[in-house]
Amino acid sequence: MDWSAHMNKSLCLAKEALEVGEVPVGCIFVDDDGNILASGRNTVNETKNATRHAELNCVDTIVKAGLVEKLSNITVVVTVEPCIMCASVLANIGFCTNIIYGCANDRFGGCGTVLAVPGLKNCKVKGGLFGDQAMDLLKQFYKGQNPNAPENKVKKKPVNL
Amino acid sequence: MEPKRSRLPITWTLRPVLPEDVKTDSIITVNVFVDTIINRTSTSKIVKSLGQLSVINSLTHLKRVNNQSIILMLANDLNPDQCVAELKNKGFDFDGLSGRPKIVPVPAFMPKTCSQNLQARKLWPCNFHPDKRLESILCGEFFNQLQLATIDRYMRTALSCAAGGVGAVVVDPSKDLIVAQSGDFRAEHPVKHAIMCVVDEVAKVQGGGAWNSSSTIAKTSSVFTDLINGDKTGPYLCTGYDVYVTKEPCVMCAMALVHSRARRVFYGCENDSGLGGLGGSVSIHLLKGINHRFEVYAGVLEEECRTAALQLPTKNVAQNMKYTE
Repeated sequence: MDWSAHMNKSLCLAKEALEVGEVPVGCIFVDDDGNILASGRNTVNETKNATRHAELNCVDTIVKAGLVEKLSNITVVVTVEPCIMCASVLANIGFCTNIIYGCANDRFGGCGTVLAVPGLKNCKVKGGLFGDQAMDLLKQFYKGQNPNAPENKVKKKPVNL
Repeated sequence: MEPKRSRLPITWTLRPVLPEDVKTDSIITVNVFVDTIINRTSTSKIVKSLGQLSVINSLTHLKRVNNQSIILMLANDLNPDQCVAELKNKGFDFDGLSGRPKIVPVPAFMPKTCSQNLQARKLWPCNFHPDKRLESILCGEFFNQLQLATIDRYMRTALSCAAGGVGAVVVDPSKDLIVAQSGDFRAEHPVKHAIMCVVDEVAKVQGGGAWNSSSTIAKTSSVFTDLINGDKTGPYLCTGYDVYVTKEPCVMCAMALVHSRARRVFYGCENDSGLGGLGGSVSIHLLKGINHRFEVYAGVLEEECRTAALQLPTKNVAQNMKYTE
């Protein structure tokens, strides 16, 4: 199946995150017929909770709708490889059988980049769909400084050359 | 922070969750060519000229000389004759040596602990400087009785909210105050493990939060909120905070604590689900490349925590402690 249209939706969510100063990651949960059941983006700075990643916001939508037990064969289309935390959720939540991501996550990637989380064999994982666009958004974010990060307390010593 | 209540005797043993290469006492070896010094007065000259050849750059953790033996070079796949030929070819003078090198196994890496150093020395002496902090952690003297009593006290608080099988408490050790505490609500939401809930409770103290809770079990300290409101710089996530949780966090929760910048994690019993994230199936806090690290200690009130974990979240318990959206 061609997931391009769905990834474009996730990229739009990531752009929305960037506009409000969040790490630009967007995610949608899609069923077998291509219907979008949940969509989300990072809300870490808004909630002051570092675990509020796009994927978990989508899971909340599914839980609120009372669908956790009823779903199966859900494809997660996310702009960046899920982190170890999110990959662990997706691998063990039961209804996610397919993960499509854009760019790899070198710092926290839970689909094999830093760690292949336990239970991941429950899901088919494929990366690289519009990865450059997802990476560009991240680069734009990290060019600016995270407004919520504390000032670095360690004073850098002047370097004597 | 002198506790006013009378202290209970500590009935448990704290276990640091450390990397394998620190825990082990077995030494990985590498073969080197070692020759015998015949004329001891030449030792310094031999050491100097070997140094200039830079054939053992990767072995700087080893003392060059052991009694009358000296390391010439890595053995690789050479035989002693080839070793002599290669060194002579590089201009090395075997004057003062026997000229009949032997292959000897020596420690391949610098020992990380005193205990490893004892083993390593049996093979060859090393340049080893003990890490005093690590040594005191290893021998169980890092925490004094008063600190252990504090750990015991906070874990008892975590146990008091473990009605769902797991309880978690986040503490600001600089103020000796509880920031937030929570039970486990996975029966109603697959992500609402005690750690995920308590991290959100901490966010609420800081004016954020994603989940509404009407539970009396999950709560933030009002004393703490007042303190924070007076603090202009403000806290950031769980930076500087210690986390007490009755059961080893799963991989999801362990990574949540990395994202949240927790300072230290104390847990009671191990997670036997196959998803333990801090020493069980994996050790998230020891992964290379992760941008934040914390120390992990297991075994706090282990028996009590294991008993608490048996109380599976029943429907009734879940209803009693309902989160409301």
